[in-house]
Amino acid sequence: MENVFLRGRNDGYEIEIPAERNFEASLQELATLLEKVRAEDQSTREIHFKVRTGQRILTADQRQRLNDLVGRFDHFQILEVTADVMDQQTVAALLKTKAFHFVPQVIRSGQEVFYEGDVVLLGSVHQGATLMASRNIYVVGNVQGILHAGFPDNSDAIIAGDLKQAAQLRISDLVEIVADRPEISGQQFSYINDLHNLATAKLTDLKKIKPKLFQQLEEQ
Amino acid sequence: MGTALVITSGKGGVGKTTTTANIGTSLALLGKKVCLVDLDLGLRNLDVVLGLENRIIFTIVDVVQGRASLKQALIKDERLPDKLFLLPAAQSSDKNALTPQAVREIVTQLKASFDFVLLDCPAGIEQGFENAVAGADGAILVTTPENAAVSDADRIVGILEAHHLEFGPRLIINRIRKNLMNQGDMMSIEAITDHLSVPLLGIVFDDDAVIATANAGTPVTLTPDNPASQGYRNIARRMLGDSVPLMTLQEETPEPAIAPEAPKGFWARLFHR
Repeated sequence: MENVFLRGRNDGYEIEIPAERNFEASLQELATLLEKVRAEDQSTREIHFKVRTGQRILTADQRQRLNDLVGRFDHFQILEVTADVMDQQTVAALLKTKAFHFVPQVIRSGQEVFYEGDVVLLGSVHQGATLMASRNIYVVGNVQGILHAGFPDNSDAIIAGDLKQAAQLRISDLVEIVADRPEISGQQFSYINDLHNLATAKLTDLKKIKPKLFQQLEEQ
Repeated sequence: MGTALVITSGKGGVGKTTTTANIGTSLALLGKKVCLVDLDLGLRNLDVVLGLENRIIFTIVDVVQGRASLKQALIKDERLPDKLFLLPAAQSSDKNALTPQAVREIVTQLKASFDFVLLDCPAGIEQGFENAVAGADGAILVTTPENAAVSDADRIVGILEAHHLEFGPRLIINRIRKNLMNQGDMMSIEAITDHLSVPLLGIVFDDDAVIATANAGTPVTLTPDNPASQGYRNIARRMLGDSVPLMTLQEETPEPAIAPEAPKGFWARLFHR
C-alpha cells in the first residue's frame, strides 16, 4: 500500500494521495482501503474524510471520480480537498492584491485610473480626475480630485496623507466632500469607523486605530 | 516635409481661431510656408478672422468628397503671397462629413508642400476634435487664466497623451490682463504651467486691438507694435527655435522688440528648421 495513505484522526480520516503516484492506482487502493474501513465500522454515523494531494492539484475530472468513489459508501463524506501548491492564476491574483503601485504621473481631468492593491501617489490627481485602488491610498503628491480607496467594497482601506485640497474622499461605499470637513488638514488619514462612517485621525494614531494594517506595514 | 500642429483648447471662446490666424500669419511673415486648415465644420470663422470669407469657392468637404482638388480649394492670402494659405471648412454640410482618416490624408498631402500646417480645432472633445487630432504631429494648447479654461485644458492634455502624438503639447496662455494678474485676481502664469505641467510656448496679452483687427479681417500680427501682436510673433519665433524671453507683466515697460539671437536650441530641434 504505497499509492495512498489513510490515517485516523480525532475528527475523521485523512487520505493522502501522493503527487508522484499514478492517480488510477491510488484510486484503486483507496477503494480497498475504504472497504476495510466500512468493514470495521458498521455504525450509521457520518465518517468524514479530509483529502490531501501534496504537490498536485486535482483536475475537475479527478475530483469528480474521487467524489464518486467515496459516495459509493453510505455515510462517507469528503470534507475538503487540499493541496500544498496553488495554481499560477490564483497566485497571480493573490500577488496583485498584495501589490504596491507607485503612481508618479499626473492623472488629469476626466481620467479614471484603477489599481488592484495599494497605491502610493507621487504625482498628482487633478480636479475632475479619479484615482481608485482596491486597498489603501498613500498620498505624497497633490490631490485636487477624487480618491477612492477600498474600491468597490473594502471597508478596511484607508487614505493617508495631506488631503485638504482634495475634492472628495471615498472609501468602499462612503463618500466625503472634503470642503465640508475642515478637520481634514495636514498629515492625517481617513478610514471607516465601527459605525460605518468616514472618520479622520492623525497619522500618529494609525497604530491604535488600525493595528492590523500597522503591523502589516511594519513587516513589509 | 512640414509639421502639422493642432490648435485646441477644449473650452470655447479662449481664442483658438484668433491664435491660429495670428501664429500662421507670424510664421508666414518669418518666411515660412503655412497652410491654415479650418476644421470647425458648420461654424467656420477662421476665414472671417483672416478676411478671406468672400473668396471661398470650395471647402475641405468638397476635397474629401471629390468635388474639387486640394489645390482648387486652397485660398491664397494676398497680403503674404505664396506664404499663407487657408483651407476653409464647409458651413453647410453636417459635422460628420469628415473622418479622422480623411483629415489625415489631406494633412499628409499638405505637409508635402508646406512648412507648417495649422489645424484649427472646434471646441469640445467630440468628432471634430478627434478629426483634428488625427491629422496632427503635435498640439498647441490655448487656455486663458481662468479656472474653467484651465480645467478643460487639463482634460485635453489627458486625451492628447492617449493619442501619442510625435511632439508633446505646448501651452499658450491667452487673454492675460496684466492688472488682474498682478493683483492676484487671476491665476498666475506659473500656477497654470505648474498645474498643467505642459511646457509654455508663450503668453498673449488681452488687447482691444485683437478684437478690432479680427473684426476688420486683418490679423493683429500685421500691426507690429501692438503687445498682443508681439506675443504672437514671439511664439512664432520660439517655434522656429529662437530663444525669446517671456513678455513682462509690468505695465509700463514695453517688451523689447527684438530679443538677442540665441543658438538653436530645443525648439529648433523640435520644429526642425
